[in-house]
Amino acid sequence: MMTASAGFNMDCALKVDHLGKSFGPATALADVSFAVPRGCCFGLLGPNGAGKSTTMKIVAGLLEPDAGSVNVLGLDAAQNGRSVRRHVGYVPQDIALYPTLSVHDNLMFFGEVYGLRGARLYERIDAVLAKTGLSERRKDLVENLSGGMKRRINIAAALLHEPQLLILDEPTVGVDPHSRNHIFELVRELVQQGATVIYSTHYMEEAETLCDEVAILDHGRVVTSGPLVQLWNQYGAKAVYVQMDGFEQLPPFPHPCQVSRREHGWWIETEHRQQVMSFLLQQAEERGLTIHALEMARPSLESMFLKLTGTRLRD
Amino acid sequence: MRSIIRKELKLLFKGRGNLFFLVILPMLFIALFGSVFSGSAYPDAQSAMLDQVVPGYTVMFVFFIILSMMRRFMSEKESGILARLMSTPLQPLAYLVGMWVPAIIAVLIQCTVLLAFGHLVYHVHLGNLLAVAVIVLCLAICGTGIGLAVSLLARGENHGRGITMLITLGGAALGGLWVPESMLPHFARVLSHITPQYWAQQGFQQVMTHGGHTADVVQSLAVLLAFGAAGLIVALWRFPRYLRVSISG
Repeated sequence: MMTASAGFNMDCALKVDHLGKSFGPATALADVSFAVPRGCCFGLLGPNGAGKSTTMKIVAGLLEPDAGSVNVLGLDAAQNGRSVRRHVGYVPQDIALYPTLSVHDNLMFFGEVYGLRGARLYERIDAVLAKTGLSERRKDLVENLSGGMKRRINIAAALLHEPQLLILDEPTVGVDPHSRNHIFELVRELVQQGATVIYSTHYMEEAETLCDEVAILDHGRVVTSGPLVQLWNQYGAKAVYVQMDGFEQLPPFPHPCQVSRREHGWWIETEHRQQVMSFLLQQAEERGLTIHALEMARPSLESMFLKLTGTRLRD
Repeated sequence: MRSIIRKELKLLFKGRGNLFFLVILPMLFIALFGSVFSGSAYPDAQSAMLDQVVPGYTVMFVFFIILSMMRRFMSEKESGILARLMSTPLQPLAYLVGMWVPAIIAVLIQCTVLLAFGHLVYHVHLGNLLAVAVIVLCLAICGTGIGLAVSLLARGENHGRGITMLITLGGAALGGLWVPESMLPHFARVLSHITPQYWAQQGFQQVMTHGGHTADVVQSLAVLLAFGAAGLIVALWRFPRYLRVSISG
C-alpha cells in the first residue's frame, strides 16, 4: 500500500532527512539532509568519496540507510520501495548495458523490466532513441559504440518508463564533447518537460551550466545547499582580474583587498569591485599603461567549495 | 521474469564459448572414443563401451553449465547491471529464477543433442524415451541448482572455476562416467554414491542398457532432485548477501 508521508511538501520531488550509512568501519554518510523542488535540476556535488553515489543509491532504493529517511514524490521510500522505483530512473556511473546485444535489444529488455509491453514499448524505444540522437544506431551492438554513445544509451534505458525523478550519477565521465552536449541538452529538455533531475558530478562547471540548485557534500555531510545564485552571493569569491603592463607590484588600493598572482595577471579579492576597477583604470591612464584584461570575476563553485571546505576538489 | 529469461537465452546462444563447452567439445570426446573402438575386433565390447561413453560424457559435460552460469552472474555483478536492475520494479527472486530457467533450457538442449548424436552416429540404444527425458530434466535441475549455488558462493572467477572443476571432473571420475562403476576400486565405489553424476549415470544405464522405465529409476531421480534442491536452498540463503555486495560495489 502506498503511504504519503505526513508533513511532506508536495512541491518537493525528494526530501532526504539526516541520512547515515556506514560500510563496516567506514562512514560513507554521516548526516545528509536536503530537499529537491519538483521540476528542477539539482546538483549533488563533491569530490570522489564525498558520499554522492551512496546518497543516490539510497534514493534509488538500492541501499537501505542506517539512519534517516527518504521521501520520493511524497512517498516514504522505506515503505513503498517498489512504487517509488516505478517513478524513478537511475543511471549508474557504470555503463550497465549488455555489450553483445544490440541497442534495440538492450532497450527492449530494460523497457520490459519496467513493465512496458507491445506497441507502447516500441513507441518508447523510438522516443528515447530520438531524444539521445541514436535512432540510426539501434541495430548496432552496444560493444561497437563509442564511449559517449554508450553513456547516452545508458541514460536512454532509464527514460523508457518516463520517470518523474531521474538520477544521473556522473553521466559525463569519459565522454567526448559531442556526447556531453547531447547529455546536457537532454537534461535541459527533461527539466523543461517537468521531470526532476538529480545530477551528481565532481565537475563544478557542469553543475554551473545545468543546475538550478545544488548540495555540496564532503566527508559524508552536506556542507551547504540551496539555489545556485543564492550560494554564489553567500559564499562566492568577489574578485577582479586584471592584466596590465608596467607593474611589478600593484599600487596600494584605497579599499581592503587581497591580491595574488594568477596566470599572466592579478587576482584581487574585494567587496569593493567597482571601486577597484575604477582605481585601476585611473592608475593606467595616469601612468600611460596598457590594460589587456580587466574583468569582474564570476564566482565559481570551485572557489565556493574552497571557501567552504578549506580544500580543493580531490580527484 | 520473462524479460530476464528471454535476454539470458539470447546471451546464451550468442556466446560461442557456451556452444563449444556444452555441445561441440562433448561431441568431439564422444567421436574420439567412438573412433578408437570403431575398428574393434570385439563388436560387443565396442557397443558396451559406447553405451558407457555416450551417457557418461553427456552427464559429465552437463556440469560444465556451472561455469557458464558463474560467468553470467559475475558479469552482471561486475558490470553494474545487477545493481541497476535492483533499482527497477523487478523482484530479486524473479531475477534469480530468470537467470536459472535459461540454464535449465540449455542443459535440456545439450542432452538432447548429445544423446541424439550418440544414437544417430553410433546407434546407441536410448530405451524408453519418456524415462530418458525425465532423467534429463532432473539432471538439468540438479546441475543448474548446483550452478546457482556455486555462482553465488564463488569469491571470484578463479575460485569458482576451481570449485567447478572439482565438481565436474572429480564427480566424473568417482561417479563412474569414464569407466564402468564395477571397474572402480572399492573405496571409490562407496564414495561414488555421494556424487550426482553416479545417480544420473545409473539412471541412464538402467533405461538405456537394461530396458528400465521411469518407475525403475525413481531413486536416481529423487537423488538428482535433492541435489538440485540443496543447490537452490544454498543460493536462496546466499542471494541477499550477494545483492548487498553487488550494490555497494
